[in-house]
Amino acid sequence: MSPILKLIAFLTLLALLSAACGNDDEGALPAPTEESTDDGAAEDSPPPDEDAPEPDDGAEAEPVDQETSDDDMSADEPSGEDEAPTEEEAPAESDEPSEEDEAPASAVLGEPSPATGEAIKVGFISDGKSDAIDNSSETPAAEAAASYANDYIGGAGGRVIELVTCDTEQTPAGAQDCVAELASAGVVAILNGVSGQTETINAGANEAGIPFMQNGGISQEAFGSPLTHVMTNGLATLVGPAAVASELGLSKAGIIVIDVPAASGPISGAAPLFYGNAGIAVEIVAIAPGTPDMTPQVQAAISNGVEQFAIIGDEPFCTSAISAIQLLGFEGPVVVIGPCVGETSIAEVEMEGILLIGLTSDDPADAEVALFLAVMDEYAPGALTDSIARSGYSAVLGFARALAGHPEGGVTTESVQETILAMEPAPMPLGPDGATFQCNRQAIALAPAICSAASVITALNSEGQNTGYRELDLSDLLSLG
Amino acid sequence: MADHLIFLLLGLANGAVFASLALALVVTFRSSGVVNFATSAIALYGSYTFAFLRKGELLVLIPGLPTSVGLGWPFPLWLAILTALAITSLLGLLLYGLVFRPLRRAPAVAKAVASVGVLVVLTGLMGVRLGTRPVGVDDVLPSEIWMIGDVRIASDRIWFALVVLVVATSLWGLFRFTPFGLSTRAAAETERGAYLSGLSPDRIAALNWMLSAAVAGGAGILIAPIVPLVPVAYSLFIIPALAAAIVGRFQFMLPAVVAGLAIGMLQSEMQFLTATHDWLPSSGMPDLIPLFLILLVLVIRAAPLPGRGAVVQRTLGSAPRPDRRVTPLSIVGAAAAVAALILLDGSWRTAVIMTFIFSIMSLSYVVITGYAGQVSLAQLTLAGSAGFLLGPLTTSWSIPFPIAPVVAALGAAAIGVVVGLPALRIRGLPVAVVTLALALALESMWFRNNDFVGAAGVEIEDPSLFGIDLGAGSGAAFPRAAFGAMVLVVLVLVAFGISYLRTSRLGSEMLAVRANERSAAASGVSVVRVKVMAFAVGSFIAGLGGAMLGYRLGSVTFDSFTVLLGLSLLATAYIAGITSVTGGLLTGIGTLGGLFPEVLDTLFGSAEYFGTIIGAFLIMGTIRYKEGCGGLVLEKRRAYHERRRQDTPVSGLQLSSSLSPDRVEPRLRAARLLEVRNVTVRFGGVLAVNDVSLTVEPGTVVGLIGPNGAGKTTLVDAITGFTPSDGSVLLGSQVLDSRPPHQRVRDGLSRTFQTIELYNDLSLRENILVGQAAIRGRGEELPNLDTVLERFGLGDLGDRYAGEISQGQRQLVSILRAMVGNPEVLLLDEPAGGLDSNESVWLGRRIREIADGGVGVLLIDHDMHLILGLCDQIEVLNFGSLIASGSPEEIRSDPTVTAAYLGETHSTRPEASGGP
Repeated sequence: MSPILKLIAFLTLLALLSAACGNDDEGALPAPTEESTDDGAAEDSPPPDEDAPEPDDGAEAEPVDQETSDDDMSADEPSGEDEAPTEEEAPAESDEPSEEDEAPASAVLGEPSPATGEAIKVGFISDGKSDAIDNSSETPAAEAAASYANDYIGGAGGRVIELVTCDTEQTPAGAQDCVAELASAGVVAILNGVSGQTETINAGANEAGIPFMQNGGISQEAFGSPLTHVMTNGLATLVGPAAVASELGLSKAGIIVIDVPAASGPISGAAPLFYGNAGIAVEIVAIAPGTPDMTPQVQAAISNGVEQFAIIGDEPFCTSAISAIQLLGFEGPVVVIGPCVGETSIAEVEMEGILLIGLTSDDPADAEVALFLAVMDEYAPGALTDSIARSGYSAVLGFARALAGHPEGGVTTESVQETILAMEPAPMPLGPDGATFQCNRQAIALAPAICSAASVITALNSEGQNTGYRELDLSDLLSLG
Repeated sequence: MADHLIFLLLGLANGAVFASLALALVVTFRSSGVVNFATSAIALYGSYTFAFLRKGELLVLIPGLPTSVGLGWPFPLWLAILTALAITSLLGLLLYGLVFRPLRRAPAVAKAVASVGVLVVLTGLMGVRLGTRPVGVDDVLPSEIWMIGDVRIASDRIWFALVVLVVATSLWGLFRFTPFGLSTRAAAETERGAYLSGLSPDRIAALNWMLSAAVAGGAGILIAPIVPLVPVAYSLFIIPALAAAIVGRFQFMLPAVVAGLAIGMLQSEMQFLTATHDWLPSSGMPDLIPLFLILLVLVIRAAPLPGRGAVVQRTLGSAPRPDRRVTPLSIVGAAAAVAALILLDGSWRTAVIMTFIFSIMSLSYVVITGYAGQVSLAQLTLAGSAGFLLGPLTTSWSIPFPIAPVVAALGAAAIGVVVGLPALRIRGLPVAVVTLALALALESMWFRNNDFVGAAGVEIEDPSLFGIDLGAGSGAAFPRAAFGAMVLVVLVLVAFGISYLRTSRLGSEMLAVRANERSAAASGVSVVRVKVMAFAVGSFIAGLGGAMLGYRLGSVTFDSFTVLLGLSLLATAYIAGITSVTGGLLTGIGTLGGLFPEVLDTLFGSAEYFGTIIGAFLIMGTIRYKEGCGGLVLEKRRAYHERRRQDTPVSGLQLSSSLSPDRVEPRLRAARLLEVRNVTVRFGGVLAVNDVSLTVEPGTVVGLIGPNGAGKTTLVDAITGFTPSDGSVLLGSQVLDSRPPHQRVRDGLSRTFQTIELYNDLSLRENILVGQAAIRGRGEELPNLDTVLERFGLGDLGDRYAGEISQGQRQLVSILRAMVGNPEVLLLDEPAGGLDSNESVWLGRRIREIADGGVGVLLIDHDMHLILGLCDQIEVLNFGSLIASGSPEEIRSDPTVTAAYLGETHSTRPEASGGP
């Protein structure tokens, strides 16, 4: 027998055995990923104990005594896989504030208010990392948000948030597996920042009767699904450019988008309606994957009389598109969305003057942005704070805020859904000062799942940074008229 | 018109991208025979290296080391380019040493599979090490804006195209005029030839790999300023590049480069047309350009049957006949599968079910590639087409469960036949490239088209049968065991179906086609029908797999069926053993989503190097098991049976088994006269057969002799339809001129080949069985095979493989194979070749008996003793013309014949057809 065959045979046997034996245990033990999040939740408590042990909480903490002691132990011996570095670096963290002249983190984080109720399992799905898309900063930020919520805002309605994470492997099958895994683990909600597998997660969660809260997405299906809540106004990425064109009095605009149904489908479906509301003709410029140079498509659109381009895609896609637009000497407005802007500098690409439609802020002067940076500093020092991280963080924090009013008693998927629907307006995570969200299915009649109608716009400078936001009014265009 | 010109110009950049990669493909193939799917990954490595050098860093891909090493200062442009080219050429050297040198004698398919492995490893490494953050690159070529009319064209695009043309021209010059180029061409012809001329083929190959990697790297550097660098940036460029390389026949650099430029420009024009004409499909039109270009070139150039000179390589592992369909092992396996379904849950059960699904899909490769020898890279796409069909079938049409997936799979079969059509006229790796281009076109025009597929994909209703829910379930209930059981049942049915196919007549015919299309046609097998059937059956099976995956997903999108996934599925299937059911099952275990990855995942956690490991497995597997490891298992089994049979004598003809005349096949119909009228064959300007007329009366043996290169075999080829010719061939009053070879066999014209051309993977019984295709075509009664074997003294050997018997026995089997077709005229091409004089005499007696049965025999041989002793009439051919004709006595004393044999045997005149 050859070595490779032996290895395959051995591993297969091992797999069958371990799986068969592990089967009995699985009922009792949570799925492997849960363990890591146990730690994630676990590390939450220590800081309040160290920083500001409130006598008040002592009494309340009693019911979760076990929980807290567990936490302490895991904080002492970092057994978690992902969290280990966080914990190791955490002690060093206490020195850091002195280095920074800004307000100490604790001031931004506010008064600790640890969650005291029973732990609830909350699923968090991320697309993880592949050769094509790297969303790996999403989960650490989500865990940081959970830790912060558990320590400072009483978790979710007083309960400790215990994140159960899962990676879609960027395939529909993987996303489907995730929903199944999370459902088996007994989560009361499924959260996600952004995902290319939104449709699958949305369908799975709604079928399984689990509330699904997403930070940003533009899935038409999801916008109408009863158990789904999309915190930010995903439609703004579509409607915002129409509003810009309308303000400028243009008559024809183009949208450049990657030609896969999940992206170009909703856009070619909905864009004519919204642009039509603004009295603007729209042309969808769909670019097939594997197109090296977009100048032919862009030139075709220019020849057809397009006066403005909106680009919907990730950084490499946007860079190619902007490069083609500028190469062809197009001088009309170019509108992009958050994921578009990164650190790439291709010689031909000039970011100055490009308009960015934003749903959230990245201005550290805004309280929510400062909070995000402080939370990341405290709970995930050194982790990326890119747009993906922001999205993951926002989903978890938004969930915690939405659940603030959860009544006493057991937490179920039904009670979670009811609480979210009945929530008071809450500050939008990472939103500009004063921005709120409320998932009462009233914000946009067209898309009841969306929890906020707000959006902002900014012009970028040559470094690709914002030059001050202003609110973009979309209400006219979002009507069904 | 101006618009069209502008768009053609705008497409120049894309064209240059494809052209530069096509150039690298051609350089690699010319020197090493590798269709290098990793070319785009090597190009990407070149551009990353270049980008890092420009930042003053050296890129390091080796896991564990830092991603880059600071070099102190950013390299200036030219130094960065030269250094990057040098580093890429070192990568080429490394690839040659580690991967392709060990594979230099491996089948072309194995080399291609290894290159897929390299692609996976390189892309995986770059993905992990460099992340998906795009890396920016400054301009390499002078970039200014040129105004053409009121359209701006960036000059670097034009320069790019010119640079590629110049590089191609210089490379052409290099290969054409330098000693290095000459020795490369010599080594490509024959390794031994290169040795004789005092060159080390090893060193030449190494240099060529360095050169081709540098060309790829250079392409990457030129592309980098246009396409933002991410690890998957270039992966899809390979398909148009392959198309361009095909246009250059993987040999000619300038045509390939021009084709690449043309593809880019035409695609751009197509974009313009799609944007201005609403009636054109919104997606995928540009992807049709490479496809049409390949089809045009291939179909114009190709011939329906390979020429005599075409090297028929044994490229795949053997596909042995299963002894029993239900082995203890298969029962244990099925039981283990059922147990696994019941005992496991969660992700493990999912992995088991995915293993079943991928096994079903890979079994389609067993039929198309393993049995029929056609390499299709479209099987996953075909599976997808069934998945996408299943949606409307179950929702809009409400077709119930067992029928819907079958109808969907039939749809996939129909599409599969279309995909397979080019294989009727071309063969080998070009078929693979065409199927790849077709797959991409299907993907972009259908799976990724908003007109057909919504954002949420195509929804599929859960299956249920007799009120039992067979759906995969959702939430905590996913995946339900009942669903797994259904998939398992489908898998078992397919596996048995394939094992039945292998033992059926169609299966034998497929293996005959795989082994040798000419020989199969000579046995009366319709090569066209067999290929079409193979694509139909294989695609049906793939479709079943796709339907199962569709049911599992509940709604299908293109992500699950991409062309690149299909490429790696074929690679895995090849390594696992593409010629047997066992291999198909192993593929299911090893494919992403199957059991083996799940085990890796459990053992090592979510390893980021997972893709890299899988790729490394592919490469190592190919090097170690050039025919796949599934084949290895079978090889062992065969060896085991071999030992058990050792008591049976294998060598030597059983000459003692004298035949009495009545033992010869009884004639079932009156034989007709074969009449050849003024047959002429030209190969280009060479007259191979010149105006030859002869007749073969029923019951007589006519000898056809002549020196080497006289045109004897070519004449037989012309008579049997294997070579196009002028003139007429008549059987009785029936004119055969427009009939294809297999039809002529069915008409009653059987032949053997000089090279025998038995099917080594088939048992003797099956070899002869294939010959009965002719009778079946006429609807006559089939003779009992055992009796036939018995009569020719081969009774004990019916189950032996043709590869295992002696030369004399092989000759006999090939004649038998021709005889069981019950021919009226038998054309024997050197049947006594390789026989000693005793055997030859014995054979002569058998031939006489055949003629006594009423069959007309045309006999080519060099054994003058046999010819003069046996023939009633002898025709002598020299330089394509008949120079003498008469009884043996007349020929023996004819001075022209003697002159031809003695005086002109070593004629310097160019030989018309490369051998007698």
